[in-house]
Amino acid sequence: MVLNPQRYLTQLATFLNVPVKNIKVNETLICTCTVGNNTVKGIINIIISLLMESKSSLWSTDPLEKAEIQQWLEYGIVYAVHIDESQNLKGILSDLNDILAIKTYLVSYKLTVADVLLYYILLNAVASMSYLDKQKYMNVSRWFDNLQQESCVRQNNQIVDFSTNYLTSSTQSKY
Amino acid sequence: MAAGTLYTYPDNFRAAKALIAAQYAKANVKVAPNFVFGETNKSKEFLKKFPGGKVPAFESNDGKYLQDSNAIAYFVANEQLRGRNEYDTAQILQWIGFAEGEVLPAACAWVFPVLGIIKNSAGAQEAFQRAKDDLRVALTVLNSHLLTHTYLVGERITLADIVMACNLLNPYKYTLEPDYRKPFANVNRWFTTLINQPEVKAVLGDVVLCSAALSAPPQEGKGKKKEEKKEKKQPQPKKETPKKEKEPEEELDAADAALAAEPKSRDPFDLMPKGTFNMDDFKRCYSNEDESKSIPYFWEKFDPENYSIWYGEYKYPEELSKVFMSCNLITGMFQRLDKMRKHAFASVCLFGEDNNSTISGIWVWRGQDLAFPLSPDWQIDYESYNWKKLDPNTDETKKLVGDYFSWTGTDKDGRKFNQGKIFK
Ligand SMILES: N[C@@H](CCC(=O)N[C@@H](CS)C(=O)NCC(=O)O)C(=O)O
Repeated sequence: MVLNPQRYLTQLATFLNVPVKNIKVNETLICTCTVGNNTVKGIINIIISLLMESKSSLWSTDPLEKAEIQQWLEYGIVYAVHIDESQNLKGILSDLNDILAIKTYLVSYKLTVADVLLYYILLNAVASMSYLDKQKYMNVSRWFDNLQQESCVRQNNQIVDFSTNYLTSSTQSKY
Repeated sequence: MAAGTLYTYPDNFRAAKALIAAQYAKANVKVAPNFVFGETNKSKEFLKKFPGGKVPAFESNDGKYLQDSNAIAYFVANEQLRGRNEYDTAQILQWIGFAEGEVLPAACAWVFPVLGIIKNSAGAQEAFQRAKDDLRVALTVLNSHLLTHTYLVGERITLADIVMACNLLNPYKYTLEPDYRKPFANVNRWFTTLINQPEVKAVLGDVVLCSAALSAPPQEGKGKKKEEKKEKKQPQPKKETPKKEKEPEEELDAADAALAAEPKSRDPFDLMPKGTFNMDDFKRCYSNEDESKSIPYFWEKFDPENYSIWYGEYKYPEELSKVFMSCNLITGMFQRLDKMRKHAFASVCLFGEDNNSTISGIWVWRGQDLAFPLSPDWQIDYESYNWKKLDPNTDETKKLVGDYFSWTGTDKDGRKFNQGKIFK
């Protein structure tokens, strides 16, 4: 199974406060939708036009940062969308956990669309993680918890419980 | 909002707390000009306002006086920095207490002898050894807190972070060498995030983390003072950074304006002479025939007057981890350049394997200049590549074109061809 782009694109559009209409996925799995007055084809292109339209600070003006953000968007829509298949879950969580061991956000030192998109894509998977896994992928947990505290990012999604007391007390024995 | 004057000597990490808080709150806090440490703050006039005679000291425009860096920072801060509720504020005070009581004494005892600020006596030497251990204890506490928290209090930047980071500033700059700080990955992550916030950078400039610990000079240590001075010069680029950030924004606006103004359908290549090279015929030949035929065909028909050949190389190969990500980067770019297809052709190749790969390609299009600036639709990706125009008459170009069109050869460092994508 692949996550339907409809949900995460709509959430991202709401967060960016840009109206999108007619999100469709055709037989060849190409996604199209209407942003403003334009029809846009391809998920990454849709995301980029949303960013342009919103003039949001979630994008970047630095070429290297832009490139890194794009790489994460690709990672999100090509790879992370398969997180509901159990054989992929571990790989995705440990990829992210490794990166987030030394980083607060995925790109640069600020919140970008890379974090927000991944948050929407991973939402259900993280919500159904066991405490043991939340502890095992502690850096992902910390990153996710930080994102969901921002109410405009979280929107109406449930707050995932990380019960940090429980987590810290059980990790302290490890450290 | 608080506005006023801060008395301090330059590059004082305590004064930085107040100046950073003022950046977040957009409070108008000026540093007193002509301040001379040891003179100004010992003058009668100063002591009347600030009996302690210490700096930083703050005088608000409406005649309020404050001493102590943390109190000043609190006064000039905003709601976000002071905490959203009483419990958050209490936790902020708790961490400020920790920063002053546990972190700073150890930090000073270690850093000051190294910088030659205090003389390195036998007593200092002993304190110096103890300081390293004390700081390790404090950092361990911080490290486990920051494993589960992005920032110290309330999942956002507060005064607690600012005060803690400023108290750790000199250790990070001068004494916490890579081996010492390695076990504190979460503190390092948090500290690097903070010093790279625009509000913090505006005050501290670029902070360079210590690469090898300076050790305390045996006696007086004048030499080290010079080194300190050198390092202090580093904040200079800070004046230029905001400007740089502005320019691309303006460019973007210009591009957006052009996008809005221009009728969507116009093909910028239509304005250029057609020449004799028929792109469609070549593409048909390339698709249907073996490269042993299509490459000679290309050279036979190529019209150097009206078309140009370019080499484009992805600038950030270190960032490419997974091969599948790289391939998507190429196909994504092709998709975004859709409207360029009619008068352009490219073969872009990925060399190497996971975690060690590069992307480069050979492009052909109508006209003699870089094509991407012609349309705002084409500008998403091209900045991520270095572009070099090739001279069609050299053997070098002939070889490059042959290699890329036939998907053979290696990149310039000898990485093997992995996958190729054709833009046609
Ligand atoms: N707790 C105070 C300490 C201030 C302090 O010790 N300032 C030193 C310079 S960093 C000073 O002014 N010393 C002069 C003196 O003691 O006469 C703060 O954080 O502001």
